Amino acid sequence: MIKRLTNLPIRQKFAVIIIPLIVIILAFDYLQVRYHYLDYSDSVRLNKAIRVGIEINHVVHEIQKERSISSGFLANQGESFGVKLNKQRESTDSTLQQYYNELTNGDLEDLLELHRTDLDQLNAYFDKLSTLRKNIDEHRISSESSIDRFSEINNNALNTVIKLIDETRDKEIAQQIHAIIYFLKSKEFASIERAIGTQAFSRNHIDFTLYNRFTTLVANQNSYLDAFNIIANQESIEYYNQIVSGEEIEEVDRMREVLFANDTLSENPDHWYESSTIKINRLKDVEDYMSDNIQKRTQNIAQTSVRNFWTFLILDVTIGIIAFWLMTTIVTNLLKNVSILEAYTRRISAGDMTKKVVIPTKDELGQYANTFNRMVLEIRKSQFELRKQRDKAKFLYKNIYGVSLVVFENIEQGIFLLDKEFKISKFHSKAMKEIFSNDRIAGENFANFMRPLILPRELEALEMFMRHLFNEDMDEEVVNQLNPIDQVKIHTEQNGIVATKYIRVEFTRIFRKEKIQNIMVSVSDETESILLQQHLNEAEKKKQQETERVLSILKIDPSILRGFLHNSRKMLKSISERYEKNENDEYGELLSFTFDIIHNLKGNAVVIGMELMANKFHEIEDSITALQSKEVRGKDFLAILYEVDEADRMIAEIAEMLYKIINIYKKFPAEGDSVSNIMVIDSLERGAELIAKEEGKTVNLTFDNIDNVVLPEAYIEPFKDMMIQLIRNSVVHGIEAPSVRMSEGKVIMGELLIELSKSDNEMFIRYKDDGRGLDIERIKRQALDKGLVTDTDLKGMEEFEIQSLIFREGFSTADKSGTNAGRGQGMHLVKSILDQYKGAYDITSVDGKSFEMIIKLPVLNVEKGDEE
Amino acid sequence: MSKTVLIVDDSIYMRSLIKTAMEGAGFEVVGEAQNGESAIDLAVQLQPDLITLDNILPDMMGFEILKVLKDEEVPSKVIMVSAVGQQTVVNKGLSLGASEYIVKPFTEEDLLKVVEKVLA
Repeated sequence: MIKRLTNLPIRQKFAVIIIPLIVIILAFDYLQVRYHYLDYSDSVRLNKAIRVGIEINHVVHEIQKERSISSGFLANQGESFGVKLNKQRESTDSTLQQYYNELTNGDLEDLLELHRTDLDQLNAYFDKLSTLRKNIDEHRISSESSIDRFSEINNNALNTVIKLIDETRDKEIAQQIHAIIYFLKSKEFASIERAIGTQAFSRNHIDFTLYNRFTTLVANQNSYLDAFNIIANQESIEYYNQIVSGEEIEEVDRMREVLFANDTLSENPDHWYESSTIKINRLKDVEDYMSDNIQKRTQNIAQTSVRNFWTFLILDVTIGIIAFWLMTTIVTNLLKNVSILEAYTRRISAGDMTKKVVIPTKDELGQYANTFNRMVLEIRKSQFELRKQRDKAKFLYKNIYGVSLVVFENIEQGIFLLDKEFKISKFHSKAMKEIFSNDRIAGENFANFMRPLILPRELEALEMFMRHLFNEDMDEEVVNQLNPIDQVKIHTEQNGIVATKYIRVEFTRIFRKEKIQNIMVSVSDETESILLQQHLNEAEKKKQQETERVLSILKIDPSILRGFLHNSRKMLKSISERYEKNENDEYGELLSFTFDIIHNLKGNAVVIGMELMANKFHEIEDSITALQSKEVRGKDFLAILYEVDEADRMIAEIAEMLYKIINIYKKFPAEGDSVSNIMVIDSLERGAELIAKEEGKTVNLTFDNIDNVVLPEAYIEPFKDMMIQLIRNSVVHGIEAPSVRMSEGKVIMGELLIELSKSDNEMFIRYKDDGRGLDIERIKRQALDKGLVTDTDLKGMEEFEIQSLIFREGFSTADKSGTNAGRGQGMHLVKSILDQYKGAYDITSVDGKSFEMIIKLPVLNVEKGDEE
Repeated sequence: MSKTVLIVDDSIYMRSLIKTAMEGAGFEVVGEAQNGESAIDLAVQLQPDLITLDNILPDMMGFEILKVLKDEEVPSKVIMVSAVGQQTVVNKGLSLGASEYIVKPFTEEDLLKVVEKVLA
């Protein structure tokens, strides 16, 4: 419960404090207001009751008089009091009327409502007066009875008065009301005493019963007076003592003693009545005085109550408003400040420290705010410092560490550090893994790491070397000369495949504070370069051998060499044949047979000066000699056979080389220039491609037999010029546009063919395309148009003659003159060249299919060459 | 033999009233006192069975008389007669040795009822 209370937010805590307070205050206010109101209403009601009571008392007072007079009237049979009685009845009626008037007064409603029954009863008693009076007038009632009847009415009236007024919350008033009640009772008894006295003196006699009653009356009257004297206030008592004294009162006492002595009752009843009435009137004075006092007092209380009520209300409301205003102001301010602080702390916890918290008050919260601000300032300073450090660290990381990592990730070298215990550093380049095909690198002892990879001897040396590396007394350069794995061959295994690698390992000392802290080790995989080197070496060696062979061949006459080679192969073959036929495993014989043949061949090689082969055969001889000393088995002989095969292969290679050389001689019989040949071909190919491109066509130029026939130097240029003209003519006129070719079922690419051949004294150049062929009619028309021939000429010409018109100067069949044709020059040039070199030609044109021209040129020089 | 009664009251009418009532009931009123002094004298001298004692007397209070009667070891039963039936007054009288009390004014029956109760 307490915990729940203490855990409440401040706002609710305030509510917990304030709400009960407000409730208590309101309850207190209610009680106060109610108290004052009750005082007021009580006083007002009492005041009204007293007003009514006073009226009733007036009536009672008159009835008391009437009772006495009636009593006297009845006692002496109407001899006296007759006049007085009527007068008194008027007085009684007058006061009764006043009482009734008072009852009808408007402001008494609530009182009447409250005492309805009592007042109704009283009024009924008052109504009995008329009957009683009638009985008195007619003497139908005794004096004693009349007293009783009147007393009955008065008794009821007094009781009603008591009921009306005997209800107040004010102790003092209650006491004074009781004093009045005692006084009224006493006065009633005095009044009855007067009646009895009047009766007795009227009769000059008092009987026993009446006497007793008289004594009781006086005793009781005095008893009530005693009670009055005890509880009435000093004022009333003093007033009583002052008023109820003097001659008249003493006279009443005197006559009372006469009655009490009961000797001779010769006193005048009128005198008794008058004296008693004076006394009773005095008593009535006291009664009125007291009633008046109480009435004043109740009025005063009512006024005070009202005043107190309003004073309290105004004071209360004022204080309430002030208190509420103060409370609201303070609580609102506190809550506001608390919420500012709260919002601020929330912002800070969210990391925003850019603003200060501002609390305008100088109370504890204000001081907290200042403290907060100082704290935040400190935090910001520290944060700034931290951020600076962090940025620096980040910078370092990015620029140094980051770079190192990138280097480590990508460098092809294995790089790592060794500590003094030869352990490999955690950070090492990625290449390490690839080089050593090993994942377990970091933290491994380098010697252990290398153990399975290198020879024990090397390992031992490595361990010693590493110790030296950390020995600062030794010069680094000197130590590095001892590096046993500067270049080392290792065998790594990955996925069961063993690979041989050549690695270079270099060691560099790393100093920190002038002490050797670490050794940086770099490992490079040099397998590829070393293998390449090996290949190069081998290739070099082989080349040397080949050169040697070539040189040895070139020294020897080709026919002799050919004979040697032929013979050697045959002989070597006989060895393998003999081996295959060797069913009895007679290796000894086979061996000597082989030896004889090899020896023979060696002799031949020596004779013709073939040192290479002589050496080889000598080697085989040595091998055989080595075997001859012991028993020969199949396995041993296989080694010899292998060497024999090798010799055979060498002979084959020499033979091939010889063939190549012969071919070269064939191609270039004179000082023929194959380079020019190739260049011509190349330039024609490019020319054809260029022309075709310009014409929007594609062609393929094929050369036939051009490798075998070498153009003499003198023919190269004319050949090229003629071919270019023919190619141009074909591409421009002969080869159809691609769309036409397609519709005629030809391949789109036009085919051009140049073929060389020669006989003993003539060279043949065959040129052919797969175009539309020569258009005879068009040639005719063109020749006529150009004025080359006449109609008459044409009629007498053969087809070949007409075709030849294209070679005439100024002939061009193309309608427009382009770069490639139409200048009437091209074909004429061909003719000119042919004429110049005494050549001849022949044309075969198939309509829509092909154009073919065969050129014959005389061979310029007699060639020398070995044709086999 | 009838019981003896001493009546103490300053009012002759009250004494007369009580005397009439007691004699009517068969008691013997052996003395009347109208002040404290004579009341004490008579009580000590007569040693009546019953004393009716008015509380307010001209010379002293009924309470004072009760104390003296107690000191003098008067064996009479005492009925306090009081003008006002205030509880404190009644209690004080009872604590000082009074047997009963009666509030004035009273009727004959009221008185006899109390007397009967006291002498039972």
